[in-house]
Amino acid sequence: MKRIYIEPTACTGCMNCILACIAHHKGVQSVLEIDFSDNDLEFANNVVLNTEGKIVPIFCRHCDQPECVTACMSGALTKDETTGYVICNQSWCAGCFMCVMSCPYGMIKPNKSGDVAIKCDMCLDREIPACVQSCPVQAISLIDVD
Amino acid sequence: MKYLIIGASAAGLSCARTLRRLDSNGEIVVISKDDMVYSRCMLHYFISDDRPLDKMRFVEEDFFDKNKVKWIRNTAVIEIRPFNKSVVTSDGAEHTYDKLLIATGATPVIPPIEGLAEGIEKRKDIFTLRDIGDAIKIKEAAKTSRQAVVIGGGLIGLDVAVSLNKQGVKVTVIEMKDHILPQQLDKTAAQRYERIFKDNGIDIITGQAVSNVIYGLSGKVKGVTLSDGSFVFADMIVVAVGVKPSFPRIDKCDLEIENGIIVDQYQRTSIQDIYAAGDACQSYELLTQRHILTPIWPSAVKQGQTAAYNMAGIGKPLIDNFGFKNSMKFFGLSTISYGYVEPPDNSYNVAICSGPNYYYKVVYKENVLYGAIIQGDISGAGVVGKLIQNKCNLSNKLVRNDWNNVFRLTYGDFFKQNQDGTFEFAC
Ligand SMILES: Cc1cc2nc3c(=O)[nH]c(=O)nc-3n(C[C@H](O)[C@H](O)[C@H](O)COP(=O)(O)OP(=O)(O)OC[C@H]3O[C@@H](n4cnc5c(N)ncnc54)[C@H](O)[C@@H]3O)c2cc1C
Ligand code: SF4
Ligand code: SF4
Ligand code: SF4
Repeated sequence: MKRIYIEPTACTGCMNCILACIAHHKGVQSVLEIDFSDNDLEFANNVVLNTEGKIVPIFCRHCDQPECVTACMSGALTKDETTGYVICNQSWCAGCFMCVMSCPYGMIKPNKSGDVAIKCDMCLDREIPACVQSCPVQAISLIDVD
Repeated sequence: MKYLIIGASAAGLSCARTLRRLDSNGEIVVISKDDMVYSRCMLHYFISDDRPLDKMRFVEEDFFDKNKVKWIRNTAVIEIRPFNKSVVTSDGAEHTYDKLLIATGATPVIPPIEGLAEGIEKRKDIFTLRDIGDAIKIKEAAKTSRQAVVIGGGLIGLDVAVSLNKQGVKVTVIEMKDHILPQQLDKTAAQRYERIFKDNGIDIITGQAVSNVIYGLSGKVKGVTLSDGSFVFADMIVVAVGVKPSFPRIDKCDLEIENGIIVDQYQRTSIQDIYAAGDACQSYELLTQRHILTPIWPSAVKQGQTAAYNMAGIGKPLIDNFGFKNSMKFFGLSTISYGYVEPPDNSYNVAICSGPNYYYKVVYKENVLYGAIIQGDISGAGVVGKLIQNKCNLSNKLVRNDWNNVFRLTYGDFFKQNQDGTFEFAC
């Protein structure tokens, strides 16, 4: 499987990856197609400023032993055996947020309406994840891991 | 190798799944009293009609076929015979094992309230909620009930209260402590819920115990009397005051038991080749550093997985058994809590940050977090949970050593990435 490798020192905090993730979740190709007056814009990644003043982009790890999956009492979260990606089946999710309680990195959260969980799906419908493709400084890149 | 697992829930099925991954040839048999696979944590959604019966399972539909697991359902194990390495089931059959897992969970506690125990035995209008059969009965009773009393203002009691409320039943919850959710929340966080419940038509009575169940002339439940002598009308009662481990009788053997079956970090019981996991067992827990019950879903899953490794002969201890985490959502307000929600003694301090829609609190001592309540926006809560679980020293992480900054911490403050892109916690 692939993982998004992060190079925090390269990140300028432009938030393009977040915009790209919003577009991906809206099912549109370009950021230009997003209506920013919508209040249901969703993204699964994050770019934070830490207490030392450093910018850190954070993305789901699709962990080898995912805490979110262990905690999921509905079976909505699974680690796909073939792709290795941790996917949330929102139509099965019960919105208990035990996954939010359990992800040590804070990479799964309630959706805007608070009824189901939302997380990174590695943009499986695209060749390259939208976020990776949109980063102008290669602060995030895809690496192969086994 | 023949693996036998008693119980087809969180612990049992996570063990079966892991065993199959580790041992492609071994024979795996699951025996359960349950006739279907379902998540207990969703039973209240079934009662409230938010989830149909066919969406209650937490594993894929072809789980048993796919993993080549034989499932003997609707069958109780009544006795374990370690000398024969076998178990006896309710139909009289005997099943042998090389390695056995006891994953039989827990059963509701019935408090010693006058009139309660015999009422449960004889009548249809007093219930507990543990399995799907209970949920079906409660749902059925809700159809004709006008007013219900729920004894116990813990998570399960409130889940039931909300589901009955959704079905149009007038509900009164009675909690002995001075606020609801006493194990999960402090008074401030609990009172937010108490207000919301009242706004939605659920009555909450705190600081009162139920002293008596009153029956009418026809033998039907008429209500309960409380410790202050007052009377609350009800035509049905749900008892939700806690659970206790439950497991079959074990023949002529010294199984070490306290409240649950005592296991070591490999999920081994005191009897060779017998393992236990989930609500039935008592295991070493990180926060308390003692062997205690950890009756939550994530612990059951992890313990089942750990048992599988050791049953398959791959020595692997459970090193992160953290039993104090809760997630709840009532009427749209979410809360996650970890560890101590109140300072256990005056060597601990608290920091609080709150507003109209949120309430965040941590309990700490020196530079280490021991507990937290995150109510409102819960995104990112897991980071706090991890800091508590790992007892991370935060001395370098708080600006000007001001504890009010604790609520700003994200994983970005602990970022450490390995070559393969996996994360660690730098603290
Ligand atoms: C309404 C409700 C809501 C809950 N909500 C949450 C929540 O939000 N978060 C959380 O973390 N936890 C929650 N819990 C607790 C959680 O469900 C348990 O911690 C978890 O199910 C424990 O799993 P287990 O596998 O140990 O046992 P159980 O789930 O109790 O399963 C025991 C299994 O063993 C079988 N069995 C028992 N005795 C025998 C026997 N003698 N012979 C054969 N089979 C037997 C049963 O049929 C069952 O299949 C909730 C529980 C309830 C009832
Ligand atoms: S959500 Fe968290 S626990 Fe789950 S796979 Fe992603 S990083 Fe791992
Ligand atoms: S919120 Fe959904 S995905 Fe998360 S643990 Fe609960 S059921 Fe699973
Ligand atoms: S891979 Fe896709 S879903 Fe995941 S963070 Fe990037 S854009 Fe969002």
